[in-house]
Amino acid sequence: MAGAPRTSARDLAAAYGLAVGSVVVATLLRWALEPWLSGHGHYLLYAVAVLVTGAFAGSGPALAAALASVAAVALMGWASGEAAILERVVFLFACSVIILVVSYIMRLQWRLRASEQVAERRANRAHDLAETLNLLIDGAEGYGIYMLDPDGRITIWNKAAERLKGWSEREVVGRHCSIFYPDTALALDKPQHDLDRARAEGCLEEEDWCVRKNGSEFLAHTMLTPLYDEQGALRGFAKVVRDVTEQRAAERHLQASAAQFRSILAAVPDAMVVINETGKILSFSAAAEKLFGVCEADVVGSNVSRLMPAPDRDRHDDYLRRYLETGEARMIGVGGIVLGQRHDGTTFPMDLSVGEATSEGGRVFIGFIRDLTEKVADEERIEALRSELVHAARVSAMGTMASTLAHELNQPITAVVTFVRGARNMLRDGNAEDRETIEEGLDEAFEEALRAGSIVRRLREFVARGEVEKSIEALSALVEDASELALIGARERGVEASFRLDLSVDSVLVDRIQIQQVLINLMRNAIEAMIGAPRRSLTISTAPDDPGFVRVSVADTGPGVPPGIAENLFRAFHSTKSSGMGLGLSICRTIVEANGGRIWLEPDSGDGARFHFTLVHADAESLE
Amino acid sequence: MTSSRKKNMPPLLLIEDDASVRRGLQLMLQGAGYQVIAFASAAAALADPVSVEATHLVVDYSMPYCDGIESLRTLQERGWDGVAVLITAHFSESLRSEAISAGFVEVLPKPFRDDVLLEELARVAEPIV
Repeated sequence: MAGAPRTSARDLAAAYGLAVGSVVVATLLRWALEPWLSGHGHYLLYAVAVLVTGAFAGSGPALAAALASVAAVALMGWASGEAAILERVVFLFACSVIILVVSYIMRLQWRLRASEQVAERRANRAHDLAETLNLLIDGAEGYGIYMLDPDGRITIWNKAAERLKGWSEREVVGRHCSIFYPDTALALDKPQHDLDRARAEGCLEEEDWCVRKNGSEFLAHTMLTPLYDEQGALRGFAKVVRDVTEQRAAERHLQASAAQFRSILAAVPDAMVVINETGKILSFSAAAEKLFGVCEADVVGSNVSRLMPAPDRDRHDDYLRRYLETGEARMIGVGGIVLGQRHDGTTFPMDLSVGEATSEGGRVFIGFIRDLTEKVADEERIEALRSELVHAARVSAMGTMASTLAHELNQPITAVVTFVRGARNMLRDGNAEDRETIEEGLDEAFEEALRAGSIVRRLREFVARGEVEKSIEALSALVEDASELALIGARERGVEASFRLDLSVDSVLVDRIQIQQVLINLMRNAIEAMIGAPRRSLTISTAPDDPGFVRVSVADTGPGVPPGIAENLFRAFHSTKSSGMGLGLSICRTIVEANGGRIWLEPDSGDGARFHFTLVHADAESLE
Repeated sequence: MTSSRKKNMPPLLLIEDDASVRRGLQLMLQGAGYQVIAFASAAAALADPVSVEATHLVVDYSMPYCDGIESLRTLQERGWDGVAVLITAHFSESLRSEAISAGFVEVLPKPFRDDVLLEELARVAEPIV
């Protein structure tokens, strides 16, 4: 209490009370002993009082007791004579020695008590820590934790280690850690090597096979850490073990399926590109590398738009964003033919189909790409051949008409010759009244020459090797032009031609020359078919068909087409004529279908043949 | 996660004295969905009570002290009736017929393909007469 930093008022009062009390008791005792001491040792008992006060109340009250003692001696009248002053000085000296000793002892005592308290607190904390750590170590699911002494013998063993390895704490503590190593590792002295390596490297982390108590093995991930004390001496090792068999097995399984997946992708002839939601390329197959002429490492991470030319290149991000926001698909799940751009900047047509998948990293889009360069080239070649064939057929059709045409041309030429000769003769005669006749004759010659020119012009147009192109044409004009050529020589054969054209469906989207060719072909066939027929009437009519189509019909009054022949009528090389290759109607079908329509023969009704074909009606709505 | 998964994984007893073959098979079979308990010797495997709980057995034929067929017989004496496949580097037709009559579903000569072993293990155990 004497050295305590804070002293309450009550403690203070008690301390000084003790000082006063002890002095009073000493005075009374000295007074009682006066008959025996007779004037000697006045201060003896006071020294005891000061000692007692100092021991129990501290140095301050002891000092007070000493002063009170001097006062008491003076008061009692004991301080008389010459020795009194010396006695007082000696007493005060003794008192100061007592006070010094007492306060020193007090301080020692207090210090001892304080260090005891610190030790106790420390012990408590260490206990708490140890308990927490134990809970943690035992609770670490799957993490076997144990400690080894410097020689490798087990000193501490947790519950998870027991679960992992099958050894209980009681069985295993004190045994050497080599019991966890398989025979093959023991043969290489691995346990000691591991301890040495851990010391040399500061920590040893590895994956290796580990033996359980029952002899079965598991693949363990281990971490061996050496522990040192403050002096740097090796205290032992801490080892943390985890069973990773399952994990490694799953990884291996995954790797195997991933490898399989990759090999499948490598074998798929279509190029495959995987992108994420922002258009970044995640994967680029071997076929894609070949197709785009760039290797996977160079494109992964960049935007897929680099694989397409403008305008798609600049719009692709918007396409993706719109799809993600609205679900409105342009390509995804639909697919189509688009242009791709190779690394060298050249473009090529490709068939693209895009699928969507959800992976761990979010949504991904998988594009399968087929190069259409060759297909398109093939189609173009076929188209070229077809138009060659159609053209050849036109030329050949005219060839078969050569004699008719010659006759048709000879007519006006003959007329011109006759008129010109007649006019010259009349001019030579010089009769003035002939002038009018001469003028009429020259006008006739002029008309006939024009007629011949018009036939030649149509003919040349017809057999010209024109580009295949569709345009909007007036069907009536087209029929008229075709008739000019087709009906050459018809009248001479007694064929009456009549037209019933519906002008409400007059405009069609066609290749003019090709459709004329169809018409000429059908009309010439009809005219030929009616040779020898009692009634020879050819009717060409147009009428609305299915919405968006116009039907053109060519009907004759010939013997009709026998059913057996009608079946194969539109196939190539089926001819009923002695001359000809049987290409006429098959070419008609090719042309009509290429122009978006169809062609057919009306079933025989006994009054001649009726051929129909349809053309695309170019009315305001369908023109967009 | 591991414990709940393990409940659905059929326990498989693997006995093979060659460490690399055993460990490779352990990882492959574990990856294929079996809960593999692997032992280097039949003695250790049979001493462990978990051996009877396994539903599948893959055992090497030629091992010191106790061969694969004996191992199966010992297990059968304890009432075991799972699917057993014998693997061996010393394949012969007589060994095959001996093993089949002992109750193995198939004998696979080493080296064998992973998928062949998995197919055999997936077969329903034929009733042992």
